Amino acid sequence: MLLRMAIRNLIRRPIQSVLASGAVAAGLAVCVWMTNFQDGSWISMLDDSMRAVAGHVVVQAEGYQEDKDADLLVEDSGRIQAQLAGLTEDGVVLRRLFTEGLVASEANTVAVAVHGVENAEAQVSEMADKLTDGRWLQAGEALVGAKLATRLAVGVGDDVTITLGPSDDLGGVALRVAGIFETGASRTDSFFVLAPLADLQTLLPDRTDPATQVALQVPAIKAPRGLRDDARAAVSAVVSGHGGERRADLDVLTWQEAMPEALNAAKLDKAFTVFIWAVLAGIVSIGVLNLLLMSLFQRTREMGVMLAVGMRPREVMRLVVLEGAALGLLGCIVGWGLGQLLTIPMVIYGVDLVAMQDAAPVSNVAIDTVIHSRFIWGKGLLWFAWFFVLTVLASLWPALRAGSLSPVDAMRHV
Amino acid sequence: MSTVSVQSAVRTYDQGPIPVRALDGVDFTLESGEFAALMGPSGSGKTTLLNLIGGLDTATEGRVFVDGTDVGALDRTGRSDLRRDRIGFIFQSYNLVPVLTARENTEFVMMLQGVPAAERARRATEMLAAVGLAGMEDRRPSELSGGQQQRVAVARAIATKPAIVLADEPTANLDSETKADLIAMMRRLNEEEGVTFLFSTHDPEVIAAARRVITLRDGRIANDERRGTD
Repeated sequence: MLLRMAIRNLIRRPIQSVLASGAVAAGLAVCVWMTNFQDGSWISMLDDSMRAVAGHVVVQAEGYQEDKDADLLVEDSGRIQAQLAGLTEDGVVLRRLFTEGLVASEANTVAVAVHGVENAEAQVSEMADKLTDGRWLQAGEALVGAKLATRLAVGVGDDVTITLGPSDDLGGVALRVAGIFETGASRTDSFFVLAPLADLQTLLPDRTDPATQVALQVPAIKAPRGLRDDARAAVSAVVSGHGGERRADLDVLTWQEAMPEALNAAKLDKAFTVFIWAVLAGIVSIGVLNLLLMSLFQRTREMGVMLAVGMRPREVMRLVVLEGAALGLLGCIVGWGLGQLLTIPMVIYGVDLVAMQDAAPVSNVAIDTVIHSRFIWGKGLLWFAWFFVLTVLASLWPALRAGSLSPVDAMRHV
Repeated sequence: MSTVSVQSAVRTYDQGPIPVRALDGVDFTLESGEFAALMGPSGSGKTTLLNLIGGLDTATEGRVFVDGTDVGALDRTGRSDLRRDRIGFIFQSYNLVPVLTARENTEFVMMLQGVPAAERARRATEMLAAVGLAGMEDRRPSELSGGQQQRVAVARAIATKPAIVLADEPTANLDSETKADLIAMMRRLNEEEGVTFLFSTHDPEVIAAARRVITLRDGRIANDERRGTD
């Protein structure tokens, strides 16, 4: 009967109840929608970044992760690639060379970051979608950023020469510009070149089939459990081409270990917004507190009669808490549902936020700036629980006040 | 054992520099089956005495026993339980819970006692019929007249078979015809069911119906008249 009374008490003050539960619903809907959007955008950015400069499992030279020294290379990278390819049926294993150098045209010479890639890179890189002129590169060709192309005064079909290191001591390789890309990130468009891995390897004649990393990627966002351990075992089985020694100078990393800054940026951003939404929930619960206090004030005589006929103080308190819980539950159900409903168009259509390119957690990668929300069910339920708990907590003070009423004084209340 | 025994009860209120003695040494007993009224001018201590007997207040001095229990010795929860189990209340107004039907209001105290739902419903229906409200069980208080609401309050008060029913100005807001009906109903319950009633009242009709009239003046019993009223 107490639950029935609680629900009926809410119904008999429909405007107040709708306002209070509406506040809970609105707050929760915003939290759910924003979580789906924010997490969806971070998943998308991290996934794009991971696929461009890392993989679900990354094989690098020992120490490269700490130093980022371009001379720390994986040798016999082709053999390692072949070993890792055996671990996945629908994944891809890519070799990349990350280095710095100079790109020269007839008009200018510019210091740039250079990524040496294989043809299969087009399957995973968003850069293919950022081409504003030309096409993806093939052997003997390069892709340059739009601002770099302007500085070099080159277009599609023009020749450039790439040298590695601060000078041309190592010699250079002539490449034809196959395509020009524009990501929207100024730095990437001004100082970044993609070139074929094989062409860049010719500039490192004293290294055997070198690459900065060999990256294994699977189509799913999450890697299968144990993939890194399997990769470690596969890598350790590779025999070097020099005297049959086993390779012990390689690191096998997950993408989280290979891109800790990106991961930390995501965590920090999420933590900050979680804090904001948690505060929002607190503000919403104050609205519920206000309603319940007003309701208590308006029902003081009624509470006095209930206490007078023998209702224990804690039963009165329970009644008030039940009212708060009912308000909260209604608001949370409506809010959670509304938040998920509003997520649907964002899941299907997304929103093109060109400015997101500058927010990419890793530089010199193209990300898909069309941000799609995702249904983050677990967090949505956590938000549901958080808002509900806060609503119930907000009812505790009015409940305590109700329970401490003197029946005689309460029945005199006008 | 008397149903109610008040022994030298004093109730003092601290209001400003001079304490107010609302009750100034009251002694009386009430036996089972009595139909008694407390009368006196405003400020004579009627409501205070009723509150002491009902466990809504505690005496500053003296003792009050209800059905053998020392009310002053009980804590807040104990007094709630006493009111729930042994005392029925009828107030001047705002007796009923607005969101409950007549049946649910009648069941309310039984619900607090933990009486099973089926038994509660049966007794509530029986009580509402006894007070002349058969067929109105599912109406809310807003759908009942003042007199009908008071009948529901009576039904609730007696549904738990209390040791005593305390009624504080129960007819104050009723028209004369309704008042007469209510008084007659409560007399009938007293005579046929043996329900003990103690009223606090100014109403001459209630006083005329009572078989015992206790007059209070300045916090003391000025007169205690027993009658052989029909």
